[in-house]
Amino acid sequence: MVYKKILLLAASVFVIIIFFSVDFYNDWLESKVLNAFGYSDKATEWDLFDFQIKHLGIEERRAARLGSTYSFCQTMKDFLHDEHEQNPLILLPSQEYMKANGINILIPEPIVLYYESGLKGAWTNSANVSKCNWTVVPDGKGSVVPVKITNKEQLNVIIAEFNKYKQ
Amino acid sequence: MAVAGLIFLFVAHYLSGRGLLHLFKIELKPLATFFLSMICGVILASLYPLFLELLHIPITKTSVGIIICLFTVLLNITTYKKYKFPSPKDLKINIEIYELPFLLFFIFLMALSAWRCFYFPPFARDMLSGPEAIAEYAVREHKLVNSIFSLNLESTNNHLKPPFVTDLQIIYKLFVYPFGEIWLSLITIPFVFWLYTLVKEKLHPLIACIVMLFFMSMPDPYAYTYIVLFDYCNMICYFAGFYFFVQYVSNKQYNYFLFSAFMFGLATYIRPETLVLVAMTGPLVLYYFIKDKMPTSKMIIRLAIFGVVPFLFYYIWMGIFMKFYMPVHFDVGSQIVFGQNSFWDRITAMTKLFIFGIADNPNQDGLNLRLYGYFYYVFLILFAVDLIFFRKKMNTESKIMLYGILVVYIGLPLLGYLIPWVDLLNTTKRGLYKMFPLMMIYFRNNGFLTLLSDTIRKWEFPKLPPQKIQPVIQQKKKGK
Repeated sequence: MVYKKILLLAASVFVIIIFFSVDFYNDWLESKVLNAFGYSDKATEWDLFDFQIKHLGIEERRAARLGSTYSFCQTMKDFLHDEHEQNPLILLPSQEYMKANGINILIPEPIVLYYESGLKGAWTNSANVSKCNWTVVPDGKGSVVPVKITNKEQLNVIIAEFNKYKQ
Repeated sequence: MAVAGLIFLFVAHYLSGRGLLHLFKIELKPLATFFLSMICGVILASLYPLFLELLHIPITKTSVGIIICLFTVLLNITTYKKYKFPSPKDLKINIEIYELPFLLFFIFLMALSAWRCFYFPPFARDMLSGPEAIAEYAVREHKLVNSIFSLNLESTNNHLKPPFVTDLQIIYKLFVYPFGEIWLSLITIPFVFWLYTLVKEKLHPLIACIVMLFFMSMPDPYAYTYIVLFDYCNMICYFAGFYFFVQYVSNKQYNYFLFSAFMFGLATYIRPETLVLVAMTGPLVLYYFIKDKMPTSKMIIRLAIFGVVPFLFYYIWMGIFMKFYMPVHFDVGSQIVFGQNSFWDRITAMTKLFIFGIADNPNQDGLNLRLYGYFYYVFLILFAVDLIFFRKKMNTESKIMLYGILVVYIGLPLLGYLIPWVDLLNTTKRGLYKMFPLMMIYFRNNGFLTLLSDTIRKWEFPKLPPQKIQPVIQQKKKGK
């Protein structure tokens, strides 16, 4: 009886080895499971279990996962705080606009901006777009800078520019 | 992380889930009772902040703590004396040594999943633009209808989704830590091991392990054991609905029928469009009622119950909360646009892309494998073998599971036909998860796999007829 169980144990190990010899499952195991232990070339440091265990801060984990959107939101939040802006409403450009200007930042939609920073935002098709008093424009160096909107004409020019690209 | 809060919730989930099972007089083996209690307990907890909001009670740590305790007590108060606490012998887990390599791998996968669930915050766009944002501000402002609804919400409809995820995020943010999320592991881990015990009930452990390996190694569903969204939990409840309906058909106990309807209700609560799939299950229920020669009046009442329970779950959110509490108007009827997408185009695209991996876009070639591995192929091959060689041996459980699979296969394109936002690459892709546990239960009845199991058992225990082997193994182990 015992030898049969040992044979079945060997069969189990054999099946698992065969299963993960199949290219597809092998790739999945390496790139999506064992990447946590450095078995994948594509793994970033944030995929690594060793690295994760040394970086347990809530904010750093949030920043790592949410990426450029989170840094955009935090930068805007800090900037507007320094400007002592009480009720900012930020006119957000579309992703198409960002892409056309060679900027690799994922601009959040208004609800995500609010979730990540507490700031309110609007798109060009939002009902309260006329109340926008801040926006972001390309800085020419692959990033964006906040710009205060001081009058209606300026706002209309910016909306017209943003509207050239799909929201 | 507040470990005390996690332990409190863990115990409360288990007790309330167990109380629920006793209310429905559901009798399962001790391990299955534990797993299902956890699943039910967590999902029930997702209703509590909604109840607080409906009663205009601020959502705070105190009020949520009280309502959790209250429901836990209420669910147990009438039944706790009837609890049959398992003896240590009953709790003994029957694991053969040759299951261990597989089980260790499954435990490793789920441990990694739990870690990932804990480590990173929710990041799926559907979460950040809806449930997660609402939960974050509900914790700060003590209400579900909070300042999120004062924003420009043109870009999303995720704030209109049922509060299943939102409420659990609120509870776990209040009691455990800012990312919430850990509740997902408290559902997915018990489910995976419950499913394994179910498959193992009928198949030889080695065969059960192999089919489970195919299930666990589906890249997309596995990823959603640690990425918070609605679909994995919806899949579990939909599966449980069918599983307990099978139990009802085999033992004719009404309580199992009610529990099945309740689980379909929870599935509908998690994803309201499941109501359409539940409606499509109606003919199956009717068929078994007619087969049982049930009196017409009784048949009508039971069919009504089968429909009304899920509808109530749907109505609490859509009919009451949306209508009378939400500041934004949302009319479900207006979302239904017949023929926005062609049913045939959708079912063809779904079949080609997700089952056979044939795509018009070269980037999507082989998408079926990238999402689900070879699971569909395994099912199709085993189903074909069953149809050709074991057709006459196909049992009721198999047939009901196949019906459930068919409902998903037809129901998802139908939903795409009815509701424009039920898209192919997101909603349909994840909606297909609902087939997989049903396929696993089908596998445990599959003619070829059963034959293979019996052959291994005969070889392993040559002196005993196959059908007597399992009880004898258990008796021997109890005797020890």
